[in-house]
Amino acid sequence: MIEIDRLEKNYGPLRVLDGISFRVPEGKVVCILGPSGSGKSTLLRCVNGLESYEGGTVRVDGVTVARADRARLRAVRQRVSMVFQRFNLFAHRTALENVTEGPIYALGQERRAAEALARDLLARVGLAGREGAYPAQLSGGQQQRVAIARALAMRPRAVLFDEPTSALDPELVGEVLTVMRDLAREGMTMMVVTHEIGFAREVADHVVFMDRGRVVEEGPPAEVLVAPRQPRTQDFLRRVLRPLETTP
Amino acid sequence: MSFSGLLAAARDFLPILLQGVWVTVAVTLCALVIATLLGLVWALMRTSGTRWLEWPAKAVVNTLRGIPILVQLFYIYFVLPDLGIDLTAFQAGVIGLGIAYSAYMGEVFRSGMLAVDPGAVEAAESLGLSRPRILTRVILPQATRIVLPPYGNMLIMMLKDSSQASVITVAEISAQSRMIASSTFKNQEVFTLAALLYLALSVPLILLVGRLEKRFGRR
Repeated sequence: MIEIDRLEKNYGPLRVLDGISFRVPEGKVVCILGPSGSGKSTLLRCVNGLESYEGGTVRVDGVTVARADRARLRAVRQRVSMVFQRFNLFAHRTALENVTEGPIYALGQERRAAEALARDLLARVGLAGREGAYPAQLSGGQQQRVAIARALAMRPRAVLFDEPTSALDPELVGEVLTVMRDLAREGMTMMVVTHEIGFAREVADHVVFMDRGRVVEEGPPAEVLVAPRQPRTQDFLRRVLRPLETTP
Repeated sequence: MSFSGLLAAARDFLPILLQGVWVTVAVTLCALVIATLLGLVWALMRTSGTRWLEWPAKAVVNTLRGIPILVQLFYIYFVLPDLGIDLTAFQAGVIGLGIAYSAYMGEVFRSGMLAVDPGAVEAAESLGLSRPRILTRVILPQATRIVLPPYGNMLIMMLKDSSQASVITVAEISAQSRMIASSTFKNQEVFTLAALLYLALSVPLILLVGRLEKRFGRR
């Protein structure tokens, strides 16, 4: 579904992605872990065409992602949806309008059909009855669930999650992860940048550990997360799992 | 000046001054339309991301900001006829004030557009919305809320600056009051009346802007 081949990206002299290759097969969940600044989010943004890249290729459902080609870029974006760390909802529109925005104004669907779909999706993420609420009236967890409904309203072939729970209060993380878990169970292809090791262990089919723009280690979660071979992965997991003990 | 003196002056001069009020309101509103439309053009050019559009808009805005409104009005009223463009005083006043204020409006609009949540724009992009759609569905609606209070302030300033059109013989409040004062020598009464008329127009606007600020101040 998503094929990343020797992807390279620079910010000026800084190489943020240094020959990344892996694929996300249809119906699978790939979690990407790594310290901040390792290029995880940049990688995700390249898949969606929010960032350009200098070398290698990114292909989504057989279509090469290239920022220069607007028509093709829109084709890619209608195949993969994105969920952002800071939700990025439209503050001036209700939950329902946030969800119908893409179907109506990017896909050209009828308003009535789009609204029916949006109501279904909002109910699915546990927000039935909150259709008329503005983002400012919703909690962070609720906002992120609206954002997930908005992503699903495009009927995407895959969904990209960019640290979807990092901006949430700890007690609100669970409700978002539950929605994502259900989505994975239904067979959605997902690429998830996350620090939630527990979620990755339970839901991921494949885990990619990145550091300094490279893939350090990858494999099934039972290997990478439980018995990592690389010292850098071991070190990272130790810090994430026992943050208090490693703090000097 | 006694209160009864002021009342007597009001009775005598208010009919003429009220004609001036209508001219003031007309000049302000017509100039507002020009300033808003032109200002929007400058703002869109300056945020277009295309150097060929950004640079000329910046040059025009800075030129207009750097020349006093009075001089711009003189130019339009006294110099343009030499080039074969004859305008009435009212037309010249409206166009001069509108063009001068378009520079400030453009800056207000631009700052509003830059203050729009970039995350929301990115989300719209990732949904596959086209550039024009992102502009009309996300950027402009959000910018409008941000811009409304400063826009209201601009309107109040334009109302007062419309008095500058008196120097090119537009018969608005201050022109009328000077005419009456110079023929009756009742300076105190006449100019007090003029000030009160301006206040009657601007205080409601000031209160309105205050309410807008309260309402849209927090997002």
